[in-house]
Formats: sequence, structure tokens, C-alpha cells
Amino acid sequence: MGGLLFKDGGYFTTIQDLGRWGSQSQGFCISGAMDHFALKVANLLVGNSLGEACLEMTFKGAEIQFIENNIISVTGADMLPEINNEPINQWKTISINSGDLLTLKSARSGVRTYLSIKGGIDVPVVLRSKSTTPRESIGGFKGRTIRKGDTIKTNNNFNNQMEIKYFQLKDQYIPKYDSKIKKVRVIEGPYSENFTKKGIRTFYDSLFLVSIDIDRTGYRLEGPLIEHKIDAGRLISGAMVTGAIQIPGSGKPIILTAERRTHGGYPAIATIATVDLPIIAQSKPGDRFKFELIDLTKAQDLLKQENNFFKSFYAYVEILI
Amino acid sequence: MSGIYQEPRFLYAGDSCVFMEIGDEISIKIHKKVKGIFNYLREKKITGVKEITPAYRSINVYYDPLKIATKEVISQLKKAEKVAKEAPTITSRRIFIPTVFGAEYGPDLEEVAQQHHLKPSEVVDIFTQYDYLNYFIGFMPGKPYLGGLPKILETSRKKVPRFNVKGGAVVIYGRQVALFGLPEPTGTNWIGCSPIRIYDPRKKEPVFLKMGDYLRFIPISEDEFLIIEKKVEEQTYKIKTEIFREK
Repeated sequence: MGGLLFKDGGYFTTIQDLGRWGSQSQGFCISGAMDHFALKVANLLVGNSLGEACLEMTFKGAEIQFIENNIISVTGADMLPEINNEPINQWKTISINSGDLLTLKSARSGVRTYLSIKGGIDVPVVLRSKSTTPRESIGGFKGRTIRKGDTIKTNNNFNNQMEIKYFQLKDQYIPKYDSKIKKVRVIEGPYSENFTKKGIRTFYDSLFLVSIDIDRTGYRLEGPLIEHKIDAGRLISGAMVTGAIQIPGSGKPIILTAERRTHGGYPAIATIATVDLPIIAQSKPGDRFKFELIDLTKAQDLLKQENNFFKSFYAYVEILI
Repeated sequence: MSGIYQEPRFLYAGDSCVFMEIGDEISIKIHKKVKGIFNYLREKKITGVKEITPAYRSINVYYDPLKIATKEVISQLKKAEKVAKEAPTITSRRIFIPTVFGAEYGPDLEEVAQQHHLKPSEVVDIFTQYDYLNYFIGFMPGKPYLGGLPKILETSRKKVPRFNVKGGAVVIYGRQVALFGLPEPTGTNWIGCSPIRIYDPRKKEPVFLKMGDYLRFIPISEDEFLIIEKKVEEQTYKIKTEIFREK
């Protein structure tokens, strides 16, 4: 058994996989990685299965001492990682030795950074997932964020006889998080009928600013107010989906993200295509979104393309010696 | 409001979820149909379907579009809507929820009483005479969506939402009732507090309530509250339940 000793937990660090599916009808939220793309790439770079749990760090990274030799990868927001004060590349397979100190700093671009460990993180699987939901005190490490002094076990299946392959994702496939205006593709509905023509036009024609009110539950946006039809600002409470853009009575959009509630009562004017959810995950206050309408078929085609990328992942990497 | 639709309505909620709405109101009739379809689909285990959830008037299917086509999801739902029988209505559980009303346990009780020109004790008497149906669980772990509040206690939401209610809070809004498992900001009217935990992550089955349960609130004193609270903490309190037969 290897392990990670946290010298510093960072700003908001949790263990996340692809989410807790199958318990929404008991009221448990899905949770899981905000940026599924970065999580999956991190796993593939160390030879894990796509959905293995990783550490998700937010805004400011952790400082971690490795108890045993490991193979790791750091993806997502650029947190200028260093091992024993020597800079290392992100989106790359890295070997790290027992006693080494991995330090991640404040995100230079993007918001969320993922650390994968070959073999995965050894925490209990609760309701089919290792994902942490701090609000529900469930999953991950003791159901909470990681703090200074915590030690987390890893399933270290690394040994000196093993032949490890080292990869670096080619530069053109590494997502860039810098642009200030981000195009976000959405499909209509489920409740676009609750809005006036003017409201819908406002939604697609305007730029929306990411407010300071953002977390794993949702992103509140600032911008021109979106007009509901009369008495259409509330619904009979129904199901919610991640990526739904709800418009409450205030007229200001809220994007529902990984730790959204299972049910709610505000109508969603549009829903973000799954492939574009990582854009939201890596956006910070002050960034701007422009919503672009696509149809269901297009959104699902994009998802297929993304899946093909993971299937032929090794065509998109440089193989290192 | 017209009740159950002639034909269900299908809504795309993004690229990986379909909502099937079967009506446009909160009613026991619609609930029974939802429950019947939900139970039918859950047993069917359709490849590519990640999860199915119920709500007041909808069945919601979360699927993987790489494994099942949206058309196929809809055709499965259409079939289920035709085939599924209404959920059996004969028996369910009646669950007794010990509750302290008023003062710091229910800061909005006075105001609710004033709105209805009743004494606070009269509000409690009326409130505790009814059984409240749990239409489904959602929002947060274990939280029931309860209906059946009598017209005489119908109360609109507060204009200014309260910052946080305690875990165990009993609240009313419109003709609905809710019981909170965890502290939460809410705009509903907080009338009482129960020492039981509808969500206890320490337990093997952390969620106690089920869709279709009937809840009956039992007034208790502050002293009783403290005793039960301690037992709940020690995991020795047993929630009283009995078989409930619908009239």
C-alpha cells in the first residue's frame, strides 16, 4: 500500500470519479469530476481505467509527499506543478519516488486540476462511487475535503519489474482555458417554452459574465435579464440534469454543475452539451459565455467524437522513453 | 390544470436525459401512475440506461447516448406508460415523526397561525391530524416531497428566505410539507423540528423514508425531544411505523 501525505490540502481538494449514479431517487446527488475530460486523460496517461478516482483540486493546489514510488499524471488547470522544486509537465506520465514532494500552486489558467495515481486511490466505494459530496458527508476521504495532515492510501500496483509506458498528450489536444469569451454549445430546453421570444433572443444574443458565486453545485451568471412568460418562472418540482441553465425569478441564469440537486423547480431554458461541461468547470469569475444552439443529434455526435478520442487515445500522445 | 395528459409529453433534458411528463398537477392519481411506471422500468433494466428517477408528474431517464439511442429510450418509455399498472395502493407504511412545534423549534408557527386567524396550538392540532403522502425522495438525501396539507393551512412561501433551517426542520409551503435532513436555506415556513434523522450517513441504509410512505407528525415536548435526540445520536431510537391502508 502506497499513500499520499498532505503537507497542505490546497483551497478545495476532493476525491472524484465519474459520479454516483443510481441513487438520485434516494436524494443523493451525482457529484463526480467537474471536468470529465481532464479526469479521463489523467487516468489514461497512467494506464488506469477511464473512470478511476483522482484528486480534484480547485484554484490552489495541494502539497503532497509520496510515501512510495508511484506513477502519476497532472491534468486540467495549470497549477505549475513541481517535484522537489523542479517544474514538471502537465498532461504527461510522471514517475515519482518515495519521499518526493509534489507541489501545486495557484491555477495560472483554468480552475480545476486533476492528479491521477497509477492503480487508483484506496477509499471506500460508497453507493457505487468514490466521489466526495461534502454537503452529504459522503464518499471520498471521510466525506470531506482534504486537509493538511491527512494521509490517503493508494492502490499502488507499481513495482520495479513492471514496464511503464510514458506519454505526453500532444499540444494541440491540450485544452486551453485562457480565452475570456467562451463559446458554449447548448441544446434547447427542457423548458424553453416557459420563456418569451424576447427572453430566448436575449439568452442566445448576449454575453453572460461568470459571477463570483460559483462552486461545484452551480455557476451563477450576470447579464441581461431573461424574460419568462407570465407565471412561468416556477414549475412543479421535477428532475434536474447537470448542465441545465435554469432561470429563476430574478431572470439571471444559473448553470447546474456536478453537485446539483436531484430535483428543483426553476425552468431550464437550455442545457449544455456534455462535451462542453469542462469549459464551465475551468471558467472563473469574470470569464464570459456565449451560448450557441445545436440540436440533439449534433450534441450526441460530439460525444461520440470525444469517446473516439479516448478509444484511440494513444494516437494523440507522444510516446516518451 | 387538467390532470393526466391523453398522451405523455417527452422533453429532452440535454443530450443524455429524457423527461416523460404524464400530467400537469400534483395528485395522488398521477403519483400512482408515476410509481407504477417507475417500478416497471426499474425492474426492466434497459441497457444504456444509467438511472431512472420519479417526480410528481414525470419519470426521468438518464442514459448513455453511446449505448442507447434517444428514440429507443422514448419508445421504451411509451411502452412502459401503456403497460405498467398503477402501483398497488392497498398497503404502505405510516411513519410517526415526533415533532416539537413553535418557539425556536418552529420560528414561523406564530406567523402562520396569525395568517390563518388561528392560535398556534390550533395549527398544531390540525397539522397533526393528517397523513402526508411522500410522493418521492429528492433534492437532498432522504428528503421527502410530502403532499396533502389541508386547505385551511395552505400558506405561501416567505417573501424573504430564511438563511438556514436546522436538520429535522418541519416546514409547510403551499399545500405541501417538507422534512429536512440537513440544514438548508429555504423560503418555506418553519413550524417545527423533529429529532429523528431522515438521513444518517453512519447507517448502512442512510435513507429511511420511501416513496409512497405516509407521514404522521406527533407533537412532543422539548424534554421528549432531547431524550429522543440522544437516542438517535446513540443509534438506539426506533422510529414507530405501522401498516397503512388507504381508504
